[in-house]
Formats: sequence, C-alpha cells, structure tokens
Amino acid sequence: MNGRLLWWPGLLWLLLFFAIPVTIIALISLAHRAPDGVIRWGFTLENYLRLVEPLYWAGPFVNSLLLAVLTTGLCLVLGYPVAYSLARQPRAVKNLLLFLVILPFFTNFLVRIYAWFIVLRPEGWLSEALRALGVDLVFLGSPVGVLIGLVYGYLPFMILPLYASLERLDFSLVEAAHDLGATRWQSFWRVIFPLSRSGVIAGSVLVFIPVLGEFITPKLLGGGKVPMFGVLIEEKFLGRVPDWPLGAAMALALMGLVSLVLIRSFRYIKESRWVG
Amino acid sequence: MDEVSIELREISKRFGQTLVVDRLTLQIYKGEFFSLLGPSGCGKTTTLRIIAGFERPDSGELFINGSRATHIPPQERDVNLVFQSYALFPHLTVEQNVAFGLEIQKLPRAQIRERVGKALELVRLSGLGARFPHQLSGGQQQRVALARALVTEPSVLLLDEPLGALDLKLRQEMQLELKRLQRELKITFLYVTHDQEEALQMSDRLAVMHQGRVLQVGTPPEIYERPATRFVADFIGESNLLEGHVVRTVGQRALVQIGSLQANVLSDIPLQPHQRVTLALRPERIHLCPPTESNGIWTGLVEALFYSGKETRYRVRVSPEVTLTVISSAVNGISVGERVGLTWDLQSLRPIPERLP
Repeated sequence: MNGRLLWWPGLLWLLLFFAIPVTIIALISLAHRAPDGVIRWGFTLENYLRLVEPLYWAGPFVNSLLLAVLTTGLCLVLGYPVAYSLARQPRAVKNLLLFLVILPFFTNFLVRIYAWFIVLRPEGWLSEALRALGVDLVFLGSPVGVLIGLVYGYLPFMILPLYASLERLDFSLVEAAHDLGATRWQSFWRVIFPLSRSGVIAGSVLVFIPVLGEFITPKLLGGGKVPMFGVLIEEKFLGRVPDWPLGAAMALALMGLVSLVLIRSFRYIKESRWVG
Repeated sequence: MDEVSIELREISKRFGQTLVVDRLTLQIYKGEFFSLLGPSGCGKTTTLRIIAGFERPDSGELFINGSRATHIPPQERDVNLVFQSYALFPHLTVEQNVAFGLEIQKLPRAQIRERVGKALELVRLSGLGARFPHQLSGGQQQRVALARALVTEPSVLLLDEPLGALDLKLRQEMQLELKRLQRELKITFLYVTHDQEEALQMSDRLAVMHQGRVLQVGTPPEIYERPATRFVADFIGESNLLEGHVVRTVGQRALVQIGSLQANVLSDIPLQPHQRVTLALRPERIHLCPPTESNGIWTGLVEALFYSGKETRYRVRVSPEVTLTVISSAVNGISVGERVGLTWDLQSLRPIPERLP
C-alpha cells in the first residue's frame, strides 16, 4: 500500500482544526472594526500597529508570563516526585495511580476551577483554617489564588510526560551512580534529571503555553483583579466593548511567540534523542 | 593470599516467600579471582548485590576488608560493580562515564583526566573517549564499564555475568582480557556466572551455588575432580552417577556393588560396609579398549554414538540397569552394537559424600 495514504488523516486534522481556524483569525486581524464593535472585512495592518504603540497590554502580558513561569516551575517541583514514585511502583499499582492522575479530566475544567472558588473564598474552610492559625491570606482576586488554580489545573500535564520519561529510565543506572560513590542528591542531578530531560521539556511546554493564554482561571479566581493576556483577548471578543480585529491580532502575536518557544524546545528534545 | 577481602557470615535473604540466599557463609581472599557459579535463580546475583549494597540481607553479617559493612550504603563501600547490562550513562561520553566516580570524589581536573586516560588505555579504548555509549559495540561498552569500575581503584571488583551478552569469540577474548587485568591490578575479582567452563578457566577458587546455598568451595581442579555433591558432579561438566552399596573396605579402598557389577573405589571419606553410596565417574575419564583385554574393568554394548568432530560420545550399556556415557577424542572405528571394554584410573571413580543435594 502507498505509505502516503497515511498522511491524509493527519493533514485533514491539521486543515480542519488548525489551518482553517488560524486563517479565519488572520483574516479577522486584518479587518476593520465597525462602530458597533464587530468587523468590516478589509485589509489593514492598523490592528497590529495598535499592538506596537500603546502598551496597555504590557502589564497583563507580564502577568501572564510571570504566572506561566511560576506555574511551570511549581508544577515541575510538585510533579517530579509524584512522577518518579509513580514510575517506580509495581505495574498494577502504577496503572491505578496513573488513572488517579488522569481522573480529574473526567470532570469539566470550569467546574473544577469553580470548586476551587468555593475552597478559596474568604469564608471557605481553607481561609478559616489559616485564620485560626493566625494567617490572614486573601486568595480570591489575588495572584496567589490564580496561581493555586493554575498549578492545580495543569499539574497532570506535567506529571504525565515526566512519568513517561522516568518510566523508561533504567534504574540500574541509578545503582551504578551509587556504586561509584554518588549520594542520592548527586545521582539525581547527574543521572536521573538529565535522563528525564525530554520529559521535563515536554511537560514544561505543555504547562507553559496554555497557561500563557489562560483566561478561565484568572477570571474565576482572579475576579478581574489579576489581568492576564488571555483575559484581555477574551474581552476583545466577548467583553462589553468588543474589538474582534484587535483581539485576533493579539491572539496571533501570542501564537507567534509561543511558536518560537516551541521551536526552541523541540530542538532540545531532538538533541536528547539518545534517551529513548 | 590469607588476608580476607570479603566475608559473608550466615547471610540470608528472602524475597516474599522465597528464600533466595540461605545462611550463606563465604570467605574471599585479597587478590584472588573468585567465582560464584550456579544455575539461574540460585541466588548468586542476589549475593553479589548484597555485597555491593543494593540489597539488605535479612540476617547475617557482611565484612569488607575486615570491617562490618552489612548496613553501609553502596556509595560508601570500597567495591565497584560491573553490571550485566553495563549500565553506562547514555547521556555521557566514554570519558565522562569513566570520570564519573572520580568527579564524585572531587579530584582535581588534571588528575581526573590523567587517570581516565590511563584507565581507557588499560582496557584498550584510547581514542574512543569522545564517543557516546550507543556508538560503541557490545565488547567496547563492556570495556568502558570495566574502566569506569576500575578507575576509582576499588579493593574489590564485582562482576555480574559481564560477558553474558557477548558472542562466543568476543567472550573468549574478554575472558583473557579480564584475567590480564586482574593479574596486572592485583585486586580481588568476584565473578558471577552460570557458565561452568568460564568459571573453571578463570577462577583461582569458586563456589558452586544451588537454591541459595553454597554446595562446594574450592579450586577448579578440586571442584571438578572431587565434586562434593550430586548436584556439583552433574552441574560442573558431566558425570555418570552410579548408585550402590559398600561391600567391604580395606583402608582407603572399598569394594562397591552397583547392581550386578562391582568396582574398586579409592575413598578419602570414611565408608562403612553396607553403606549406600553414590559414585561419580567423568565420561572423558573412561577409556575404551577391546573387550578381550584382561585389564578392562567392565565390558558393555555400544548402544549409541554421537560424533562431533573433536570428540565422540558413546552410550554403553554395562549391565541391565546401568549405562555409561563415555567421551573419547580418539578415532577408533567402534560402531553401534559392538562390545567394548571400559577402563579408568582408580581415582577417577569418586564417592560423593551425601550430605547435601
């Protein structure tokens, strides 16, 4: 059979869910904004020029960037031990625990974030418990609350690729490191971590990129007080003063940036091919 | 040779319900090439891993260079292991692999470079230092594993079936290489293998293990010529095992009745008349001669023969209940159905002390 036949499902998928939507967004970003807020088709670069000039989006963008970096870092620190101990379990236990990691996906993301809203609100049990300990922390409407929601929401995306790379790790390499005198710490940094690099990069990409464009979590848990780039874009489409062309231009600018990050990351993953 | 390098005292290890190592006691001397030989599942690798520190024994004590090491973590033990899978770090070059242990010791960079160079020279891999493990052949990877384990100058090198993955020719070459290294470095080698020929050829002494226990410890000739148990007699080389009972004894000599046959035995273990005894006789120690010759001990009928070039195997029925396997390298034109005489040196027929399986 012709091997090229196998390309079609992939190409079709890309066309339907990537090429066509992106083209539509691109066309919108080149259109004019009608007085009523919707679009008048045309060809103009004014939306992009508006992006360059008034830096009103800079603050939210820095917020998004910081929160994306923090979320990725926290997910890595929290997810690594989980993925490692998961990978070291006997097969039956492994599958059960893996299922538990995936379990939250069976519930709608919005519902889960709303659940956090209930936990984090001032009269929620977490705040009350902390107050009882003498710590008065406001979660809702603060970056901390948003960060908690983001880490919670994206942790599985870090754990799964980490698990995949750690599961392939030949544990006799760790024994060899100990045998040659390495402490646990040394064998982690010199052997385990470098050999799980592809998982670290894949997990970080899977967390960093969606968080950069996040708008549900900051809207629900940030209550409009934690402006993020994704929220800004969302408001341009669904807000009280819509501006689709500008929103589309912002979305494409973000996509361009994300693509750059991706290309760099994939180069690293490619370099670490020997792991597999 | 008297100084003890590794000593195991009554070491036991259980995995779940299975007793993998059973009250194992062993002394390995400084500078000797010692092998643990046994079939797979006999506990030899577990014993090695206990010495390396990767497994904790359930009971018993381990001493390395005279000091108690039972609960010392692997990174603090003066022993290095060459893994069966080599366990080379795939993300490091050959040089970095070999340098690993020295870098952990935080030696000065110049000294590390010098010692790594020497170690690679020792295993004849100079010039391949910049390669990654996956760019090397199996034999070369094996040498890197050796260099990496030797470069930190451990007092004992543990080798877990290190040649198992290599093909026959390469294996023979590496056997010589290992012997050369051990002679040059004069450190203790503890070698785990299931290949009896390998163990006999390479070891100064060896221990035969079976079901978690050491059945016999000795030099290769001691083990081969005077197997202490039926298992050893059968596992090391081949043996004809003959069941009989003692008719009478005169000093060290005994006359043993095997079915309808009788044989003289020279025994270094005390035998009593009427005692049941198992005799071991190596197939290659039996000589075939014409049946009429008066010096033939027994006569028999050749039931089958298998010619394999360098030797011929015969199955000879010497009585209704006893057949012997005979291996001969001589070309003598004997064919199936012929009657032959069988002779052997008196000391080739050995009684086995029946204490262990």
